Amino acid sequence: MAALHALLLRVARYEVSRRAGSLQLRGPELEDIAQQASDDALMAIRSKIAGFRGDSRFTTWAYKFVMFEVSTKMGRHFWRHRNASMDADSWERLPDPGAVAPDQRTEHREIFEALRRAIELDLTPLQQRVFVAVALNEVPMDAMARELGANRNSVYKVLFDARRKLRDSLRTAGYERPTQTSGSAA
Amino acid sequence: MKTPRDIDALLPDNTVDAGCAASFDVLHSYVEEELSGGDPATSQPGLAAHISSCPACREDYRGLRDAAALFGDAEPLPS
Repeated sequence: MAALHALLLRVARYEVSRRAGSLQLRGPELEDIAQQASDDALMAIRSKIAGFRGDSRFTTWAYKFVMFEVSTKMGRHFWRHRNASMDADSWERLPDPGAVAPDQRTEHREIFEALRRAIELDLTPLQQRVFVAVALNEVPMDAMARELGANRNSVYKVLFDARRKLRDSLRTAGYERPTQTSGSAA
Repeated sequence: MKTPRDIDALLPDNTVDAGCAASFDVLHSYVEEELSGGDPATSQPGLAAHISSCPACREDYRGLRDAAALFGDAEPLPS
């Protein structure tokens, strides 16, 4: 187990470094996250080892628990370094009509105005909060899950339903592409 | 009226999205198939749809793909 833990720690350090740029974390914090993630990944592996079916290398199966733990722990750190109001600048994240070709700007502006209205009028408060944070402000879903006292799967379900509702709203408003899905995002 | 591509990115339209929990269950086999030259997007369309829509699971997928490629042949199996 010591050898496995050493391997998980090596992977966790690599993964923490890969994701570090988005969080402005420093060396000691990154090492703490890697240590905690490898510790908790090892615990998860030990408890779930009976479920390993041999459908991949063992290491690939094991490393996914490192990915999950790193993501969860970096989500906890997100709010320490990002205290901006999520509502204040969110609309600025919608693509700038000036960034598209001149002959498409009117159409572009119209659809994003329709989207703004749909977000304000058609989404529930929770759907608004999750969609604005995750889709517009790029808040990590695990950070959002922590903020809401939920888990990643439930946050994604809210996001999935919000997107479906917005597509329906845009289609009703006459925009062709958005169509209702049959997916469940269980 | 067509919609701009930006809307497609904000509102991806996936019909077979597997969701986070189900995707996590099979993420390792998806990555392994990809690294061995297969086409997991065809064999596991629910997971492919999900990682195109879920930013958290997409990052896990990218990290696992890199880790499996870089450290995948390291052993051991637990005793």
